[in-house]
Amino acid sequence: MFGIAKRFPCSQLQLGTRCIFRWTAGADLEKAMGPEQDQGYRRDHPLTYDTSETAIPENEIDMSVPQYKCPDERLLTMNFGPQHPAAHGVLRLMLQTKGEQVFAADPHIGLLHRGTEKLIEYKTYTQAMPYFDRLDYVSMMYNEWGFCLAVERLLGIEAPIRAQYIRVLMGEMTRILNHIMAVTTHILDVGATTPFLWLFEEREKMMEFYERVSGARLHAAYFRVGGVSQDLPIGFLDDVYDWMKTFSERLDDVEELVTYNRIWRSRTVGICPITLDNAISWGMSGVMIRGSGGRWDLRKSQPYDAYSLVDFDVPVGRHGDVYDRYMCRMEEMRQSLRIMHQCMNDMPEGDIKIDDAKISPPSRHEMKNSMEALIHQFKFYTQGFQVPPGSTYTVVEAPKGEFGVYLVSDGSSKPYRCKIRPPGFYHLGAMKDVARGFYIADIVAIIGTMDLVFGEVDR
Amino acid sequence: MAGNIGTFVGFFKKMASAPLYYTVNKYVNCNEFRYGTLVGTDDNGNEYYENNDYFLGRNRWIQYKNPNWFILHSDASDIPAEWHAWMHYMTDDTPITKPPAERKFHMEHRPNMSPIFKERYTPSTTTKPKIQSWSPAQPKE
Amino acid sequence: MFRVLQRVNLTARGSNVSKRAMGSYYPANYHDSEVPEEAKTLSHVSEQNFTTIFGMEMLRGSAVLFSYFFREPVTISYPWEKGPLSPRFRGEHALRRYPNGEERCIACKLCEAICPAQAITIEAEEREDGSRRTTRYDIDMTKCIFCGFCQEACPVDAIVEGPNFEYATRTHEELLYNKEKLLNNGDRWEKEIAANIDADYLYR
Repeated sequence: MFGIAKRFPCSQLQLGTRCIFRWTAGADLEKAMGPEQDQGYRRDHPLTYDTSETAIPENEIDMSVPQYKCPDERLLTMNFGPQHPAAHGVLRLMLQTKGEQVFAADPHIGLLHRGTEKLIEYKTYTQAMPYFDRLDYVSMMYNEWGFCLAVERLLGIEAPIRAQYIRVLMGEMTRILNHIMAVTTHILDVGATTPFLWLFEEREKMMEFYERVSGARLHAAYFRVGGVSQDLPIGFLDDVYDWMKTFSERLDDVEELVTYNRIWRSRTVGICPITLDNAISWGMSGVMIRGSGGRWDLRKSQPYDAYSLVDFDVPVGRHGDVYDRYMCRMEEMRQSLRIMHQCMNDMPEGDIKIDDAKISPPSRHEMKNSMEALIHQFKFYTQGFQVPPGSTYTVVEAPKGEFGVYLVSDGSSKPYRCKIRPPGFYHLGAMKDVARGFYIADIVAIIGTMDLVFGEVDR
Repeated sequence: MAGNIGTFVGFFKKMASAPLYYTVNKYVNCNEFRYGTLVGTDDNGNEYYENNDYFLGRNRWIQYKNPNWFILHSDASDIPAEWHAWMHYMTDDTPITKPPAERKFHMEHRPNMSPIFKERYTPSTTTKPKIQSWSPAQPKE
Repeated sequence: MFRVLQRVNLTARGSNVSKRAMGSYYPANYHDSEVPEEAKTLSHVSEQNFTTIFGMEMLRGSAVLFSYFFREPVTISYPWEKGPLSPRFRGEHALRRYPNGEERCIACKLCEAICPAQAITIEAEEREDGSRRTTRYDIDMTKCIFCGFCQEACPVDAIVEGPNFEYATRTHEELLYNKEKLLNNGDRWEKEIAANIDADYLYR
């Protein structure tokens, strides 16, 4: 096969034997990216760097500036986005292309930067919470969860067990919301419209569940420090159960249509393979590392809230390509259903907020009948609550990966510093390396598999 | 499912009584041939229908009061507060089965007036001006 | 064939690292996702070839697709039909009144204090009869993030986020609500707001 690749120039190889070319490109990438770099790979291949005497040695290349030289032709610099519909928001990718092939992809971010971290320094802990909805705006409650857990850890409290179960239930619903968005828009970008329409109908139903518990379809502001804001309405769990029964069938339909489909497989199998050590060194998390075979799930390794009380499996991919990550996401949705099912069966009675008048506001009935509760209400909504000095880095396994909140408290009611660790930012950081050597059409698939949402990348 | 026999039978029965008017009226006003029981009518003349053979989300609908078949008026903000809850499935009670408590300060419903320039809301201050101006020509007292 | 080679290569590198770095102390609840296996035995090969040649996976997908042809369409035609909402819905703001017509707001400014977006501006004065009322109650609806903290904070249930969401405007300034507009909203939507608060009393 090396013979074939040598004999024909790359442009002819693209026509019929795409698979072979892919393989050789992958082999070169292996050499270029792996730890054992030797300079002896083939010079006639269009994807090799300029290894002549004048070229900069490989390890001294400034990676911030794409300067891979092509021996015979000029590279075309092309903007991908920010208006491109497959850019999933406001991603601007500077592509260095030769024909259809991408030599370097340089992501430019910041178009959705809102200064959330700085804003939070001027808000009380309660006020800061709705800002987390707007970070990753397709997995709203999970972001709130990360923040609430961080504050709870600084305060040294734990939510009541019913609140923990409600959090897990709604968090897993959020995971399904996010994966529906990730998978179906990914399929849509690659070319199939139908699964998008099917699963967005289910997403609409979940939005209605969101609306029933919290009052907002998207930006829920439901999780609070020390619990959740309101109890689940009567009949809610029955309706969720009815929805779950139909949803797994709907997933089957989508899998029947997409999973074995040869078009989908030819667009995803072998695209953007990420080895596990690369995934680790790039700081990837979530499906991006599990698709490469990493056994890493924060729900298992450091279970928060009620995750230690439910039983679930974590799907792990084998090959680390786009297809495996798609399979992981589909399986995670089913596992989320399993977790939700257990939550609904085991949902205990009890409080939904911590019984501490300094941290959670009183109920309205109590507030209108007791002077002390009214004073607490005023104290809570004007001053907030004081958090003892200290710092924490608290992580949750958000649908996209490790969502971390680094919170420093100086003892006042406002955070001294809040650093948000969004998973998508680190996935996007690897774009320069994982996209090298693939076609422009594959860039779309790679953006889709990274599951980028620019609310969290740009913060 | 909407393919329930009763739905079609009811529709054709109704159609038989006033064939042309009923059919065209339904199509023009509901965008579709649909049969349902008339649950009530609000003050503006909008009619509210229900047919539980459809799934939730489609089983309640409104037929807006249109001046005629050629000038269509279907503004979603036309629905008054007492029917809004029923239309959005917040409650199964219509204002006919469970009339809301009457208060003297209740105001008549108004649709979204933003498209009409003269009627639209313009913000204005509700406080007295904090700085009193004076004309410099006149001497101070 | 090439595909197999590549996969073996990747898997070998991956598995080494996983054993070294993170494989040791985690429970065994991780399972491989159901990635379709490459052909191994003769039956696998023949089945795969059959699928490839006759397009069986496409046919199966088309069959599922075709079954949707007979299902009921799920589209809700919006101006005539509307989606479900709950009593907790947080929509357009309104200032409520007591049943005797007296406005509820006592200008305690809790909503102004808690508002994360600082969208609320309140000024208060003593009225002629000696009661404390607002003279200015402005909400910049373009700043508001609809978190619902104002209605949670309000000790007298004066400011609420009502059920209305169809208030889109053509200009920005129409969204700078003043006290009069908010009170009018309350008077228009009071029937529904009161019913919603009653319906949700168990959880408040």
